[in-house]
Amino acid sequence: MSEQEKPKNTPLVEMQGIFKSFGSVDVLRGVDFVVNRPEIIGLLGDNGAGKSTLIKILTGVHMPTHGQIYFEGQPVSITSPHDARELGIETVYQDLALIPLISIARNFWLGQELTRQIGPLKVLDHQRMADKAREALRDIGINIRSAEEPVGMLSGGERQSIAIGRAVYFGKKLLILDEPTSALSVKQTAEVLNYTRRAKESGLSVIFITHNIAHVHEVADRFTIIRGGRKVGDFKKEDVSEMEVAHMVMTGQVPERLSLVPETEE
Amino acid sequence: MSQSFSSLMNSSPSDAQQRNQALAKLGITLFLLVIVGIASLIISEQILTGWLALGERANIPRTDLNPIEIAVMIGTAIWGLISLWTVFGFLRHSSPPSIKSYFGGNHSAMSPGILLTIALLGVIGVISLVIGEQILTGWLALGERVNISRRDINWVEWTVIAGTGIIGIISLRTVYGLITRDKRAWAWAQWVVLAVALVGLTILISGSFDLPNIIPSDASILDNLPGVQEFTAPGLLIFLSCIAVYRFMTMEVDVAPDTVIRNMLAKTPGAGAIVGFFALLIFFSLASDLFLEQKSIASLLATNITRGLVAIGITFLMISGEFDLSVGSVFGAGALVFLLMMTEGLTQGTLIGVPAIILGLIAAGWGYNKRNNFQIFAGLGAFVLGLLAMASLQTTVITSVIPAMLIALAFAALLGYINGNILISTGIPSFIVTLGTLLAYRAILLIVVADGRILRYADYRLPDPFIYLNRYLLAIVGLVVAVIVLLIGYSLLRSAWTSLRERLSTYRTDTNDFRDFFVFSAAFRLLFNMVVVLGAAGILVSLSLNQLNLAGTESTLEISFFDVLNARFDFVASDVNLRIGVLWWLMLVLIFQFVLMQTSYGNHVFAVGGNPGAARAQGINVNRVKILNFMICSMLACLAGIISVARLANVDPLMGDGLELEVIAASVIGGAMLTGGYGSIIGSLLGVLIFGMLQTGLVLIGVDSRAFSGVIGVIIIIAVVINTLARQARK
Repeated sequence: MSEQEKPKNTPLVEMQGIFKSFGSVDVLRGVDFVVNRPEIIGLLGDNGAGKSTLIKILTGVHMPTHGQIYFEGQPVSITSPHDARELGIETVYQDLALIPLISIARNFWLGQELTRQIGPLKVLDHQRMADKAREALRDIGINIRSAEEPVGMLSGGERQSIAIGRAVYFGKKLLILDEPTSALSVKQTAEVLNYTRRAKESGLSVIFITHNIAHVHEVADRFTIIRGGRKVGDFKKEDVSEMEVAHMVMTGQVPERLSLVPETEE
Repeated sequence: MSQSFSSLMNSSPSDAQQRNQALAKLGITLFLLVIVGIASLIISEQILTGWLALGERANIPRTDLNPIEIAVMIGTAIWGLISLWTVFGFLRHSSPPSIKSYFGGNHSAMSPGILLTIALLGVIGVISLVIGEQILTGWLALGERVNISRRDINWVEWTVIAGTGIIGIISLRTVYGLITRDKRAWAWAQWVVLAVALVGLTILISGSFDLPNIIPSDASILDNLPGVQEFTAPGLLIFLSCIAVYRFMTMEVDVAPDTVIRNMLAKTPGAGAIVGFFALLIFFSLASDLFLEQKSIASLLATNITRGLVAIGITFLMISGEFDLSVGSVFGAGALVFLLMMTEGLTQGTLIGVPAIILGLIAAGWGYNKRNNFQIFAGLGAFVLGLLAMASLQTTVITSVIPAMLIALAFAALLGYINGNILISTGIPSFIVTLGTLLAYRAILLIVVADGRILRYADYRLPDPFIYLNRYLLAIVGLVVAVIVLLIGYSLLRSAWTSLRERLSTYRTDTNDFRDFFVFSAAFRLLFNMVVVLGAAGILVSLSLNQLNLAGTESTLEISFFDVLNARFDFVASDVNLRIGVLWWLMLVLIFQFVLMQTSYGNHVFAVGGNPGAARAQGINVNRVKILNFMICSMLACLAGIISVARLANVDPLMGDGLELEVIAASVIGGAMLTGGYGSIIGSLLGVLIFGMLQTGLVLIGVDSRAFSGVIGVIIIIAVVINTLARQARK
């Protein structure tokens, strides 16, 4: 769909031949990773497969030993989390998204607070911060009781949702969700998946990192599976069943019926 | 009965549970009402039989009852009957008539409970207005005066007149609302009854404190039972009646005033401190006549300036998730540098050497990081040259006081930077880092002030450090600040005015139970802002004009810098030790509270302490915030040291020893969390004041001063428990 709309058929992010070693340990051994726009891509792999290292390279926490990253077709070098933010990459970590003891509005605007001028002073505009935060969250379907409530009072799902809402509001291009649902109840998981879909509808691409296929199968357009520092493969959702994906995550074996399809497409 | 049982059987378990809870709550209400009813009837009977006299008479078996006695007798008799009748009414009904069903139109105003509420509020309203009227007409005097027909009503009396007037009018308006089934009266009645319950409690407590006066120490309470009754019964009766009615009113609501107040407190980090502050204030002022004297208040403030200033910094730092044990030593070291700079002065060697040493070390450190050997050697070279310069060039260049203060503050900032930098670069917890620097910085004092001496300003035989200010310049600065205050005030007033107008325009459509209250508070805010802004600007303008006036005769103002920092105010009595330092302290509290709550930096401080990972993910430079806060904390400790030098004019090598723990205790009492992310500067002010109140109060009521630290220990633990409970209450 998006290919027809956009004249330039460039993916949002293209990581080519990413190789990363810590000392003598090779964590990533030449991984290619593509994120189109807008799409939800499930990045799957067991613990220690290398998926978080791959993402940390994308968000500037680590530098790749070899390999090149293209963002919107341009070669970029992301040397710090700050660079990643400048490009429009927002990461929502499982526990690190929000500050529990301060209000939703303060959290929402953290780092880019709204101020008003009072005489010579720049003072936080609490009213506008609360109103706009509530509006922005309502736009993607999150209804909060009051923006003055501390985040600590919200459930895990609501917190993730607010972090997602914030990324959407600030016009980010790529949202990375790191195991967003692993600590949530079934109902809250459904909520978060719902907002993830909304985020895509508003034009973002989403990388959904998980080791549990059940959480992401419903919303993802594509899966990338990593095992032992290598990519097992990219699969479109229609081509592959939930069971097959789970099997590949565990064993790294691509079923024969699939092994030819993705290669020819790319 | 059978009907209520069947309804219990049919309802779901949670409904039954709720019903049981409601009945249990009603049970306590009924118990209270039985006590109130019987007690009222007894009082009435006692007056009738002459056992209890009101007014000044001695003959006990008497028939000449005065009007007050007749009024009280009839009043208590009726009140007792209504209470008991209410109890019977509740017991007779299988499903107790509730206030909610009354507003639903199911019961008449004569139902038990409703009538009780209406009667109580009516009595409160009438009595309040009568008391106000009596004070106004001079019949009832408060304070120490005898002439009855008088026009000079004092401020205590004005306050009481205003208070009783407001309570009286609100009560009567609420009675009207209750009769006409206006649902808002329900909310107002809760507030009135709760407020009057507190008044009753206060009367009861202050009455109890007078008991020792009417009972000789060798007699028992039984010897003067009427006296005891006269002092305790009114308060007790008011309190119990109000609580009983309050319980009835709140049987089925979630937004009862106590819940509202609890939620408000839960949002405030200093909740425990606010409650503790007022509890201690009331307790000590009732327990000791000396406590609320000007003298005691002034000395309480003056002796806590040091702790207060340091506590601001510690709290600020604590909110960002770190704390600083070295403040006591920085306090002493800062004071030392200030004193030395004024007396010994700054030598050329120091002027050149210290920057060389610091820059050299920084360059060397950088070089080490970048593995650049040349830079390391250059840095170390600068370091050695700096040391040599300090040793060889001894000509004194600066001895004035303001540079001395700035140098001391810069020195403290450096000490704070070292604290922060060690913490950031090594990742060692701040407890260990600052424990180390606590000892290290103390060594500066111990080495410089050798041999157990005390460094005294007087030993140098110098005059007080005078500063000279041009009065014209002073006046201009004052006027400029006044204009800034007016500009800020204009924005504040405009926003207050907007919110008041909004409240008024939506008043008719607003369905909130407290809509009148919101209008009141918006109007009050506008008025308060206006008074503060115009008052501050007015004071500044008049001070400036005063300076302009004086400039005609003498154009420079000569003033001792010690006086600027911490002079004694001379508009109070000579034995009242009120000091300017208190003003600096309060001003800094307001400034830092403002920074914390109203600026982006404050938001970053909360974020860094609450969840450093999330703060970093939002692009906040966590390390920079922490190092800055360490520097702020040290500079405030140093300022406290400077102010202390201004007062004492000496530096003891052990100055500020143990200060750190006192201050951390005060901050914790004030609601700051050791783990960071939560706290308030106003809370630190209250924490320090609680600390100080205990210190003076315990002495005044005759507790052995050696027990002080024990009491403080218990208070800290209680405060933290209250703060934790308050935080949990909002979940």
